[in-house]
Amino acid sequence: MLSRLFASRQRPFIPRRRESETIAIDLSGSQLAFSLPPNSCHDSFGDSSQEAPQGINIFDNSNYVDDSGYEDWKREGVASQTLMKRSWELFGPIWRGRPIGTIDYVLTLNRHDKLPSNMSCFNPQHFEQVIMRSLYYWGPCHPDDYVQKAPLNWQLRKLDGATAIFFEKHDDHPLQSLEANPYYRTYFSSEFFIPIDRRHYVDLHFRYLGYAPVKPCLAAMNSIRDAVCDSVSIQFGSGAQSQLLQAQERWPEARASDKRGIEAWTYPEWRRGGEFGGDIIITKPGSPPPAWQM
Amino acid sequence: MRSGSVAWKAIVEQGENLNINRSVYVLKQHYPIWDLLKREHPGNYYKTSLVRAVYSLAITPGGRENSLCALNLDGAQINYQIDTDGDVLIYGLNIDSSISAPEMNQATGLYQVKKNRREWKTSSHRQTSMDHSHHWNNAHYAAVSGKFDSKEEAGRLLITHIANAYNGALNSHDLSGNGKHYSLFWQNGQHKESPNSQALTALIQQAQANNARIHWLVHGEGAGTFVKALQCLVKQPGISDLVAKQNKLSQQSVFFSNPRGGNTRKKDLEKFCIDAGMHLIGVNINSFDMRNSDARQDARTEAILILAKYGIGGGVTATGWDDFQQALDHWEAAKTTLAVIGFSLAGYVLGKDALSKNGGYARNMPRAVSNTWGSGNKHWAA
Repeated sequence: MLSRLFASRQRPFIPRRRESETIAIDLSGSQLAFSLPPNSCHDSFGDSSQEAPQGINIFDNSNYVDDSGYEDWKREGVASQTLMKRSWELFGPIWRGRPIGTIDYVLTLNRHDKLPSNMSCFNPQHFEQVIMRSLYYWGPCHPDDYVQKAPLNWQLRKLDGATAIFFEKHDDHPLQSLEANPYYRTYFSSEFFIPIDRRHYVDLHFRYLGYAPVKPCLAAMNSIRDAVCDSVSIQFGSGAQSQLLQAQERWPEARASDKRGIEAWTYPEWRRGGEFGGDIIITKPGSPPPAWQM
Repeated sequence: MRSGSVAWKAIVEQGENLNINRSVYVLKQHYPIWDLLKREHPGNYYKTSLVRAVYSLAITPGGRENSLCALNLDGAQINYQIDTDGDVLIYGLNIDSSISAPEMNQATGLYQVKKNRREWKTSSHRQTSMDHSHHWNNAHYAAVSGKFDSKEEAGRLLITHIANAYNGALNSHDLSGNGKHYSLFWQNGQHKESPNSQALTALIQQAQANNARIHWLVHGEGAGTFVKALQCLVKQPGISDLVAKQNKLSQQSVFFSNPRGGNTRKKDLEKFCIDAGMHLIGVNINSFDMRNSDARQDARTEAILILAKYGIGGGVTATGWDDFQQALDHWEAAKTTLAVIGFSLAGYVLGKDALSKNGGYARNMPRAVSNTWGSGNKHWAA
């Protein structure tokens, strides 16, 4: 426990971070595997972790939750289910009982209901559009939230012949707000999108709530995140395999962008209204959703 | 005494309620605004705060002093005088956002924590009222934060506390799916300070006035704030009855998670809830939490569920003034607002920042004002 005793903001202590566990999930024949440290939560009443299933039928639609809770203009048309949740905590000086930072990890299975029938997540160009549309619905469709700075740190990764995509999603904090709350630079999330079927994909989501100084905080947090992402492997089942081959034959030249910068969407102008003054009323529309390019 | 007055009209009459020991008068030309405010306040944080303030003046104990006084609220100030008959004369309402704390990223106040795909994210904008109509299985959920470094951190953790505390009342699908939110009363420190407990009192009463079913989750040091708010409700039954339209608090329930601070032992919490008439659902005590007096004394891990008996606290004498006296600055405030009062005699409500978007009080008054003054005061209708 010396590392706990001598922990600091420069060298945070992360409980059991070296005890990596390997998780393997059968996704209707495709084997997804990755390793990650055990869950840690100092507050047992606040522990939201969820263990992964051994296998799941991705075509069983009973466990997906769609986005019908949203108004039409906010609906991306993707239904999801959470497969597992874990948190990791970073501890600082011994006299501080609460963690100084947290990473929340969520693994989600998604079914795209609006992907046109002649497109496929196994086509990297199409998969990139799936991601950009997702960012659009995360961004300008939540005008009451911070403006989104995404994608950042865009990376393509090959997994069993398919193209998976990693990126970060930040909030655009005003400068004076960053001066007052420097830890805001650590408040962002990272996503790793992996196609597993024509219209199904999984995503590994990492949400940081860190601390200042930012540099050692991000170094510690990124090392955990990157180790998890680097450990991901997938072995497609026969169904997915044949869809992948089909896509490669049909679109042999298809590539996702190697590099991508922040997408500059125009956010709508809005005001509060409604009975409790909590509804968003758009007074001037912003950018429309990106159109599918086939 | 002033019943025959040409200039003044009573907005609150002595004897309207047992606890009210002073009549409150407003200038006759302002009466319609106050009257509208009194009738329209439910569901609006600012209006509720103003009406509460007027009633607090009506139950002010003490003598007759002819000096000008000012009652400061978050974002507004009421200028008044207690006349020789012991009645309160309100000269004006000064709306000025500089009285309040400026809007900051981590300012204490009410926020929504929204389910945003993979995470529960605290909104960047402060709210002035809870959306009582947003229900998870019949109730709106609201959390009062203890000590956290940021409202984002509080929002992330307290959803799990809510889920655990109310697992019997919630279905799994209540928390999944998009567009869901809960209300978070975030406190950036100062858990023991009056402005925080007053703001929380206004939120509880606002819900009470709407007969809204609220399930509160009160965490850590937030227990101290919540207890103060409950005490304030008990001490000021006159305000509670009138502001909350005689509605009882029994529609609201509370669960304390790791309560900390003075007056937050389990026994105390039970008593305060019974006195105020609020259901106590349970108290979760972290046995490792050595800052909790119960945990120190009796280190048990399991959450203890109490079948809440509730009753209405009656027969409590009104000593509500003490909760407000911190906000009162008799001399200092009067000195700096003399000019304001002089002007307000002619024009009544003076909004220094009527056009500013931040003036919550200003934004909530335009209808009343335009009805009273017509087009001469268009700057209000921002």
